[in-house]
Amino acid sequence: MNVGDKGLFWKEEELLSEAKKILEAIPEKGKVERQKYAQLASAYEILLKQTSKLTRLSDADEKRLNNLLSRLSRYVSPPLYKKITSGKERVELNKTRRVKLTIFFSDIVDFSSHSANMEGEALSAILNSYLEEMTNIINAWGGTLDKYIGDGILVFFGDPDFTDDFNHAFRCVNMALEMRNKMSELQDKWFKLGYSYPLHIRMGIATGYVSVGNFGSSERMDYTIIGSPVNLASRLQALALADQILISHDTWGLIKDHFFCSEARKVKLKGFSKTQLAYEVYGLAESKEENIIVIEDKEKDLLVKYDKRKISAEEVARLIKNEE
Amino acid sequence: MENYIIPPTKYTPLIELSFKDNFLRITGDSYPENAMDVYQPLILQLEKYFSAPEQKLQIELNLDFISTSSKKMLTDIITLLQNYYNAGHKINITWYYTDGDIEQKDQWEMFLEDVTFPYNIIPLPED
Repeated sequence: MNVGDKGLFWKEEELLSEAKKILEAIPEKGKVERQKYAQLASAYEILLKQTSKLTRLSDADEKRLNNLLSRLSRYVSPPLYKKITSGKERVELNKTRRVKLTIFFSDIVDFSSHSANMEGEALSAILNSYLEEMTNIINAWGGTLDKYIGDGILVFFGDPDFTDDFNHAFRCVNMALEMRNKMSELQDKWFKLGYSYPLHIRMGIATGYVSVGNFGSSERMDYTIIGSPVNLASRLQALALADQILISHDTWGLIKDHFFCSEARKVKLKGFSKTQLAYEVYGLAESKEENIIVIEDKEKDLLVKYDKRKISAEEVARLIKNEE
Repeated sequence: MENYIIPPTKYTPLIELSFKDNFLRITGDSYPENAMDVYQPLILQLEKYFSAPEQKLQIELNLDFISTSSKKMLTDIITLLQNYYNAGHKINITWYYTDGDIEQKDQWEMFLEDVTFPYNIIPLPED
C-alpha cells in the first residue's frame, strides 16, 4: 500500500481491526482465553493514551494561541482586533472603502524640545502615562485608535463600527474635551514626579469622506485612512494653540447645537488651495452661559476667553495690564 | 547509506537524517496538507537506520507551529524511538523552545512524558 493511501490513524485502525477479529473468534457462549482479553485491553489502552495525549496537546496549543492573540491585541485598536479575529476583516490590499468619518489628531505642544531636556526614564514615564490616559478616553468614546506618532495620536470615528455622521462627530468632540480636562490632572501628576513645566495638548478634528482599508505591501499592511479630511485634521491640529480644539466646517455643521464654539475663522492651510473655515470648541453648549466667558471682536483683533471658575475678571484685567 | 534530507517549505520543516554523523534534525513549522506524506517516509528511513545493531542517534528538534496531524505523526515517531531504545539502541533528544515561552516548553514535555531515553528541553540560544 502506498503511503498516500494510508490515513493518519492507520496504525490505530489496524489495531481496532485486530481487536474485532479477536472478538469475532470468541464463541457466543464459550469461554474466552485470558490472553485474548489482555490483547484487547492492551489495544484499547494504546488508543486511549493516543487520544488523551493529542487532546492535551491540542488544548495546550489553543491556550498558547489565545495568549499570543492577547499580546498581539495590545498593538491593535479594540474595534479592529475584534473585526480581524471575528474573520470579518479580509486581510488583503486593494479592498478599500469610501466612508464618511470624523478624524482626530492631537499632540503635545513643543514636546520635542521638552523631551530633549528629560532623562530617558522620565520621558518614558511621562509619555506612557499620557498615552495610557488618552487611550482609555479613546476607548471609552468608541474611537478607533489608528496610531501613535511619538506624542501624536490619530483616531477616527465611524469605522469599523458605523453609526451616523452626527454620532461620530459628537463622540469625537466629547472625547477631545475629556482629553483636555484630563491634562490638568496629568500636569499635577507629572509635577509630583519632578517635571515642573506644564505640558499642553492641541487638537484638530475634521469630518469627510476618506478611503479606509489596508494600505502597504502584502508583507506588511496598515489598516488606516487616507484622504483630504485626514490632512485637514492634521493641519488644524498643527495650527491649534495650547489646549485648543480646532474643528472643520463639516464637523461644526454636525455638532454646533451641542457645543459652544467660536465664530468661523478663515485659515490658510498647507496643502489646501482654498481658504478653510475653522472653529474653536470651547466646551459643552450649557457651559456658554455658565462658566466660559468669551470676549471677541474681530475688527479689533480681540479675543479673550476665560473660565470664570478658574480666574476672575479682575485678574484677567490685571494680566492684560501687565502685558502692556 | 545516503543521508536523507527534505528541504523546508512554508508549511513543512527541514528534515535531515544523517547515517554517517548519527543525527536527526527537524527544524521549522509543520502544518502540511497531508502529514503522512511528510513523516511516513522518515519513519521508513528510521527503520532502515535502526536495522543495524547498536545504533546511536542524536535528535534535535526546533519546531514552532505544529498542526494536530503533525503532532499525531510526531507521537508515532517518539513511540517508535522508544521501541528502538528498548531494543538496545542509544537515543537522545534535544528539543528547543523559544526562551520565555513556557507554554511551548510544557507542550514538548507532554510529547516526551512517557519516554525513558534521555532528553533535554532547552531554550533556543539567541542568534
